[in-house]
Amino acid sequence: MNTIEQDIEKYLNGEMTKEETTVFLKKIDVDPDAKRMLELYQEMDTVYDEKNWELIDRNTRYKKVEHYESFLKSDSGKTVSEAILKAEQSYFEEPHPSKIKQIFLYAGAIAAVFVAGLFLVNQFNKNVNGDQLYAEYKNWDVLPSLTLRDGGDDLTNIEKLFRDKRYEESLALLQKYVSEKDKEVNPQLLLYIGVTQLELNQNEAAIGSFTKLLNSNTLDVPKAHWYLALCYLKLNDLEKAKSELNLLVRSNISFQKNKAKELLEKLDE
Amino acid sequence: MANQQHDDYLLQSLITGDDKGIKEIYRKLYPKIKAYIISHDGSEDDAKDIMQKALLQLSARAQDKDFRITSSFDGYFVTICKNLWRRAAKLSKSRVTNEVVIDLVYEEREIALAAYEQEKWELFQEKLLEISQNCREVLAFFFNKVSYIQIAEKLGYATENTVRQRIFKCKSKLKEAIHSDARYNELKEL
Repeated sequence: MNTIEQDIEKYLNGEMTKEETTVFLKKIDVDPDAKRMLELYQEMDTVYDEKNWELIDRNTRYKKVEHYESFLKSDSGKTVSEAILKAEQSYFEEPHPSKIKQIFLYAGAIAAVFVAGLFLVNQFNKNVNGDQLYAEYKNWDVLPSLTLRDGGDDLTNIEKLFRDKRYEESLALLQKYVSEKDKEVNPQLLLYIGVTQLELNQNEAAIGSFTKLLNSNTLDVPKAHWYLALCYLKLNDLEKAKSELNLLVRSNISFQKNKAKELLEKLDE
Repeated sequence: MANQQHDDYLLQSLITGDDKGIKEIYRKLYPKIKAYIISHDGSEDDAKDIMQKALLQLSARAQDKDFRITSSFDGYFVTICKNLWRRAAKLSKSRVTNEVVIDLVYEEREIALAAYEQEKWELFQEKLLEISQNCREVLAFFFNKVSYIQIAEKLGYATENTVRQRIFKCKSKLKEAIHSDARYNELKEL
């Protein structure tokens, strides 16, 4: 006769037959102590695995979670959260060694806008130029790496072509990959497809890809607003760009939020 | 002592929301966090995001009067960030494979969940110190998916079966240590 602990070990190691599993789970179901023990063993398996992380049920009613949540939502929580944003902003405004390059780039962009402005000043009465802002704000370094996923060499190759700015080849391979292997189309791939289309001046197609992302059921949905805003900037449709940026600022992710606020200010100039 | 005072100052700034102290944390630790995230397939935006989340998480936890950091502030904070990055990888993996259906979760709940998970992780790490050195060694291999045969070779056990029995006993001891800790039950309170 096995002890319940031995049964749990056997179950967790996947060493039970189908029949044994059924019997075991029935036994566990009517024995709250055994159920808790199994739960703890399962937690240990995840928590102690250095490559893993235990995500608890997002709708949990654990007192502790609710306690932390209510602090974060309270006035004192908001005070802390504002102080963090203030500190962050002030920290990034200071010159840092690694920022020097960015400052040069930024100065370059300003100079470009200025030079372009001299040429355009007689033709347009508008002082904001979407295309220039697009050039200034597009930064594909923020795209998550594709090699993270278990996509094998195909994705690594696609990403390399993309980073080398060989957009035509990378788009062809992306589309091939999606049609062959990834029927559901994961959000990261949609991002890459959209950005590649933008680079190839297939602007409407890019809008299509990002809209598809917007309608998907993933956490990356709000990111789509940022990329759609870039599309509209490129097409000089500033009102639509603004409305996408506003949607991003109001979303619950921090992705490019500061940049979006900055852009909105520029667009309102 | 001076170090301890400085650490206390940093933690205190997170409890009350003092942006000068928090900026000091940025100065001291953001470059480290950024280097870590970038060398682990992340972007600079990811680094900023993890930094913010870690600060908020720590603030929420440090509101409790009994909250203490037993190591240095720096080391502790870096660990939180590393864990948050591991968490982000798990989240995105679960999303890709649709293991979990994830709704858009509000920022505050997300931070609260991460704080809870970190607290539990810390308790589990602490409990490892209550079992023998030998058990810790065997279990470290086991939990990181090293096969029984390989463990036998590495640690010089005669047979696979001896390793199995050893792991079974060690896991049981560790389980007992966690189970009998009041903080574990507190974590489970509804």
